Amino acid sequence: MTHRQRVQLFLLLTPVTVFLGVFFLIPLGTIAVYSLLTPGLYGGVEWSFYHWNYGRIFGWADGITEVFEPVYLHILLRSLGLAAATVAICLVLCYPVAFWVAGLAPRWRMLFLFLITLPFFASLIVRLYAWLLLLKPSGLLNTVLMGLGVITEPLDILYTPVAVILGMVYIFLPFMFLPLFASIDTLDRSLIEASGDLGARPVQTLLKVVLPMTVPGIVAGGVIVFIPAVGNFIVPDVLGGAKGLMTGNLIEQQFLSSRNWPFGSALAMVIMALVLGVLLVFSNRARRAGGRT
Amino acid sequence: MPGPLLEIRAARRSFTTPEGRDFAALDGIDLRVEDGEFVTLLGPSGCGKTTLLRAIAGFEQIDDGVIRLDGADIGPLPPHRRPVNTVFQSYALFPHMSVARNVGYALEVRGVARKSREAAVTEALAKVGLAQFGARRPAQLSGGQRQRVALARAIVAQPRLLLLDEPLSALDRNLRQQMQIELKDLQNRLGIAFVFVTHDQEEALTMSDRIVVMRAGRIEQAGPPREIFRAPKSRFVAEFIGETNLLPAVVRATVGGMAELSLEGGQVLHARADSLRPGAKVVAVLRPTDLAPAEQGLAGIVRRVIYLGADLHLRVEPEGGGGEIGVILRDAGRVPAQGERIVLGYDPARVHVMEAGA
Amino acid sequence: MKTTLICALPFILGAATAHAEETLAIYNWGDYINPEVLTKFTQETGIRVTLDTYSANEEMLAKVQQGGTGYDIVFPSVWMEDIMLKLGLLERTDIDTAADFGNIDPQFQRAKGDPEGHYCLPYAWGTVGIFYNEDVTGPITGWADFFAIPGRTGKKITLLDDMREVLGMGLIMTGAPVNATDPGQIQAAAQYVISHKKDVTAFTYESMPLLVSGDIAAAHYFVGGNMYAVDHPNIKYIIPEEGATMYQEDICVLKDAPNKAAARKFMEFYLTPEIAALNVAQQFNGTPNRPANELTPDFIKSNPNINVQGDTMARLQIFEDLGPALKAYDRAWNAIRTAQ
Repeated sequence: MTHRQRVQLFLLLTPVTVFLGVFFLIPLGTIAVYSLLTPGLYGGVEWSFYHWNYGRIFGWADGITEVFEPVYLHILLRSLGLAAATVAICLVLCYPVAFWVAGLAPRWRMLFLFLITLPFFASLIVRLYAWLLLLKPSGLLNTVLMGLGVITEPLDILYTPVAVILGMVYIFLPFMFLPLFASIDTLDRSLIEASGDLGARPVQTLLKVVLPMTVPGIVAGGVIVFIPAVGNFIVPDVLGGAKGLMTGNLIEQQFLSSRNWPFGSALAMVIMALVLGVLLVFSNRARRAGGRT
Repeated sequence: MPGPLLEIRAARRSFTTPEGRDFAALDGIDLRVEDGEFVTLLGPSGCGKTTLLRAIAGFEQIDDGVIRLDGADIGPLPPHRRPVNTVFQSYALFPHMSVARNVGYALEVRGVARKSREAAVTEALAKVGLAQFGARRPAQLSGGQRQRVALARAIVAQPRLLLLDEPLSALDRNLRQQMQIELKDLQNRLGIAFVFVTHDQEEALTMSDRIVVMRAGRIEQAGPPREIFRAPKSRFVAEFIGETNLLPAVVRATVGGMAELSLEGGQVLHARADSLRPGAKVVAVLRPTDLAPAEQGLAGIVRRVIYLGADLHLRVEPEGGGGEIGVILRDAGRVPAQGERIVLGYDPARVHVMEAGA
Repeated sequence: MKTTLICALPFILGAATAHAEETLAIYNWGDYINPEVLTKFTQETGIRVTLDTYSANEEMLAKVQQGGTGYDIVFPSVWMEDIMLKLGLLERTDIDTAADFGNIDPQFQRAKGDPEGHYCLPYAWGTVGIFYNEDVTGPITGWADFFAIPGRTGKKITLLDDMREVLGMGLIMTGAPVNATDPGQIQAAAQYVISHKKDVTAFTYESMPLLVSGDIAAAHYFVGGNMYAVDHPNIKYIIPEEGATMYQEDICVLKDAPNKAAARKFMEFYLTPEIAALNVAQQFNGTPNRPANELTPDFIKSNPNINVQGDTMARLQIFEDLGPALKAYDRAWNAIRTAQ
């Protein structure tokens, strides 16, 4: 490479580098460094090395400086579980709908896609409070169901895990739908016909052709839903009554009322590592399933 | 005598266009295909040939009529329960599977054991000359190779009937001609009946046992290639199958199986034809290749000469008037000059006469 | 920015000639000041006010510690004021020398680092007690009654989603001070809360609308919730007989405040009893301004649970900074939240 070429390459890559640096590496680096420092008494950090933040989570705490509490791992795993459940339900709900929409006439499809993105125009908090009003015992859902005579006693959904799942699925549905739709929409319909033509029952066609062919959309949707779902704590707070602690709450609490920034950073690093691990395993499996011969 | 392999009676299918108009893609189709027969559905786009093929495969339901295969009504059956396989225009190979798995797919979904599946796949691939390509992905093959994989995939389960939807249209001219021959050979060897859809008359003439010319949802004419070419029943068929001269005429007299026709410009044309009523208005069909300079025949002035290598195309204005006549000379000893008078001879047996207005 | 300035120019020109362009940047809790107070301040002084809000003392501290916020005035809780004084983040204002400073009840000069009032001005205070729907529960007097509601009536109750408040209640019920640093006491308090968790429907700040709509029967909430009780006579507020927590925020000026003179003017302005009373009328909380108490609406003045007097005052405890003991609270709160 000549000097000139090197300069050109440098100039070409500069925007990318700056972008990644500003929006990704610097914040991540800050959290990584903070997670290994001593907590300041009034928040912030003291600049001395301190590994107990991780010890407290994973079990090498000495019991004096810091105490090991398995509860943190439990909370992390529960967050992963909730996120996984959200992904699964979103996928099951979106898949057939995406198929249906992909088959619509262009103008109806545009309308539907517009409707799907409509919730983004309102604030998340406002939408969740709307759900609170819907689900509460004297809320619209119960009023309607009781009015129709479907139930005689109000359904006690608010502040239960059902409400949390409902809320999570609600807010993440569009994130699943859009990549899934993009993938299904570009699926060559003649492949489905070919499969049926060759004698495959609809279920076989779904499993052997349609699912493998839409793996990219499933993976993209899954990732886009899973990552923010792991850190979400607003839904468990607003609709779940904050009775179960989620990773997001735990981290927020460390940066606010508990004033332990390094521990919050360590928790954030661990959850990031876990998410990354899950995603790697997941996408590897998916790739292999999609690419099986 | 056993019935036909495929029998379609009074099949109708209409669609509603986006503008809300009803449009009959199939407007009363009657068709029989015998075992081992190569039948081509030929027609311009929108004539209903693809809809008919898809109705046989089960991708489209007919609104009215019957489709029988080996005597059994298959109309209500979904595609996967019809013993019929399709070669798609786009090939529709599964891109996420190897060539071998593509070919073995029909056996895989039927639960055929791996061993016998592999044997059948090897055999099918050998039949299309791709024995070494089983491990590749469709994306790693050329267009012609994909075409053969699609064929192998469609025949591996030994269907009673193979449907081919313009399978050669994506290939270049040379490859297409080669594949036409290979396809016909393969069909002969397999003994499976083929229903082949195309809009290319040359393809239809080359391969078919029988050609079914379709127009606007109806069958215009069905018969062996030679009959379709030589004795079109209508102006549409005549014009669709190859270049042709359509000469309006009036029957003057018929003598012993020979008719004397008077053309618009007053010249006389002889045709071998029975049962023509004197005074009837007819159209004489005369292929450009059936005309050649001679002592006797139709006289005219050469208006244009187009040299095309092997062929020489002439446009001749008949004496006394009438539309120009196209002539194709295969082996022109002497090239006629523009403006020169020429007399075009013909064999009356090769003049086909059909009723005017057909 | 430029366009707004140009457009606004003809309107502010008159004001600008009378007063030099003076501004005041206030950083306060959300919904913690009557907007009319700010309007009146601008009307009287010509000082333009901007208002930003926070939802936690720690959030405010983190931002202020960064520096360069441009804020003049903050409203820390008393314990946070002590931290900020220790960290040298607050400006000495000598507000105690203001003419009206005598209006302030000295018992509210609670900051340990500022007993004389050289720095901050006591702003407002309030209690955290129990709201209940009397139609459903009948009269109740304290925490024991509160936790008995679900078993007795089948109706729901909620606690605040706040570590210190919930553990503070637990400490009160187990006979410990709300600022206990003894791990045993903190654990006992957590155990008390955990033993009642099954009866608690939710930990939430959004309980008042649910209480009014009848979806819950009682809620742990701030005295400010009385703004709902005005129109719903069945909604009552009590300061539990076993004891309760109170909060107090003071008006403080930041060391790096750009408009210290304007900030001092605002403090003097807020010493006016009518202004303090105007704030109380909208906020439904207490004021350290003695004459202001006499000027508040009847609903507030006549309610001993809002306008708290001596003997009730004795049942109240205020939070202090816990220092390193905070970690034990964090642990206890996690145990409460994750208890099944």
